[in-house]
Amino acid sequence: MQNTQTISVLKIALTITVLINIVFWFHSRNIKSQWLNVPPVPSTFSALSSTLGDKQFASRVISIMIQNLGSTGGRVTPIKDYDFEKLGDWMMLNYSLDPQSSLTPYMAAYYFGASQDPTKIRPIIDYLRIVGNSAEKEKWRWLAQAVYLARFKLNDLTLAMEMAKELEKIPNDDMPGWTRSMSVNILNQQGEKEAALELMLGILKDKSDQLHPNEVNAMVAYICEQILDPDQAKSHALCIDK
Amino acid sequence: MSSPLIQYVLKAAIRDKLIIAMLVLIVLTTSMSIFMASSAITEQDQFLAVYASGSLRIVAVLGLVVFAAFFVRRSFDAKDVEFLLSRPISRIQFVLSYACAFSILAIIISLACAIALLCMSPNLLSPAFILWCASLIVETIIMVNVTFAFAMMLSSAATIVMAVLAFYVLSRMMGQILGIMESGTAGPVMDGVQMIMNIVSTITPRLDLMGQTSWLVYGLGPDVNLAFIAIQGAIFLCLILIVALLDLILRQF
Repeated sequence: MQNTQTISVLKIALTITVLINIVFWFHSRNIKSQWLNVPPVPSTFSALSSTLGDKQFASRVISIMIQNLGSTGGRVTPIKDYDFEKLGDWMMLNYSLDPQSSLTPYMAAYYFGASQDPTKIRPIIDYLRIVGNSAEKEKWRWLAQAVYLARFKLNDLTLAMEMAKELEKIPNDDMPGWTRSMSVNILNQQGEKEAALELMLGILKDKSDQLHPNEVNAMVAYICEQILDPDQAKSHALCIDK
Repeated sequence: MSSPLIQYVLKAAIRDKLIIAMLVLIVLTTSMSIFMASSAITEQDQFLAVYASGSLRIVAVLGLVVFAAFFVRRSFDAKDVEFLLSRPISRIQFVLSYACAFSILAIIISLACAIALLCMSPNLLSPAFILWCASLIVETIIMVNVTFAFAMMLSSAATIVMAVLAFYVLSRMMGQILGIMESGTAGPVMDGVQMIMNIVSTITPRLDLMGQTSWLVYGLGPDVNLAFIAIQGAIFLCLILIVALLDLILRQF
């Protein structure tokens, strides 16, 4: 008899607690996680601790984090609202963990470099400058991107010239001819679109077989959707094939 | 070594559903890695190799550590060890048989991880991959035997697992810790800590030099080879088994 009473009391208690949970849910369901912008950059030791000392693993985890920054939990944040100083520091941390990967430079050049507020992209250019200043394989293309961003996005001719000269001096025999006259190209008064088109087409023409297909697709999309206007794109061979 | 004792441990692993649980975890980890890698905007293959191998290594070590810790403590608590030692089995035979059985389990789990990686991405097969597998086997053998030795000395399974995991983190971070000390950036106040860490590092395996996921992406580095992995594994295994043996011999039942 007492057992039946206890069960009845517990059932009532269960109903009440479920109801309280539902009431609480009406309050909590609209509370969403806040994005407090790019988080502070940890030390290399701290970054490695998260993957038990595995540098490559840590680098890939950070790459995915940079890729998804500001766009999680159903939220989409304009790139111009990012803290670019910290973003640059994250990229440099990632570079120290894996200097060979092209994922983070790819994001820096084609994604963060296309910020709605070009005045903030100096840390991205500084990062691409360091990554691209290498004779290894096709790394020079990131320095070429840095030159383009500095000249036509940041409008810093001095910085663009400095980097163009660095590009010309990279001891890599596989680099196409136009990279050897980058400073001259930068100095002439052609517009942003022409310069970007020349740079992208140059890389695609000479090196597309050595790049990841996703990077080639991204460059083609950039040419057809960002550089050329819809009418020009319709008649451009690259965009027709696409 | 005693063959029945080895079989006893292996049967216990099957009875405790260690093998099935680990296979399920391996499948889940691999699937999760495929999902994570597919979200990368480029270099998905490299992502997949790194995520899967890095996660599988942690899963393999965790699974073996948890099983060994709880199994050994249960053997002591249920007086199984006392019963076994009342049979014509020496204490040396007991320790070596348990260590052998745990090592066989480590090899099985490591090979399952390697097969899962190959099924997921057959183009991973290379000398670097084979060395990574060998390294994973040595790493899991070291860790499962460290757990065995700790389980002989500590009385709570939860404490053993936490102590072994702390040891694992220390072993995998040892390269970084030694690097910081070498660079001299720690400052004069840290001289004492530096001395302690130097002493600790002499009896800590350099697991950070083993099973690196970068081998699967960029090939083998110049600093590690199979001889280094095998010698380190053998030296540390001897040390940890002697510790376990001493503890058992000195123990009063």
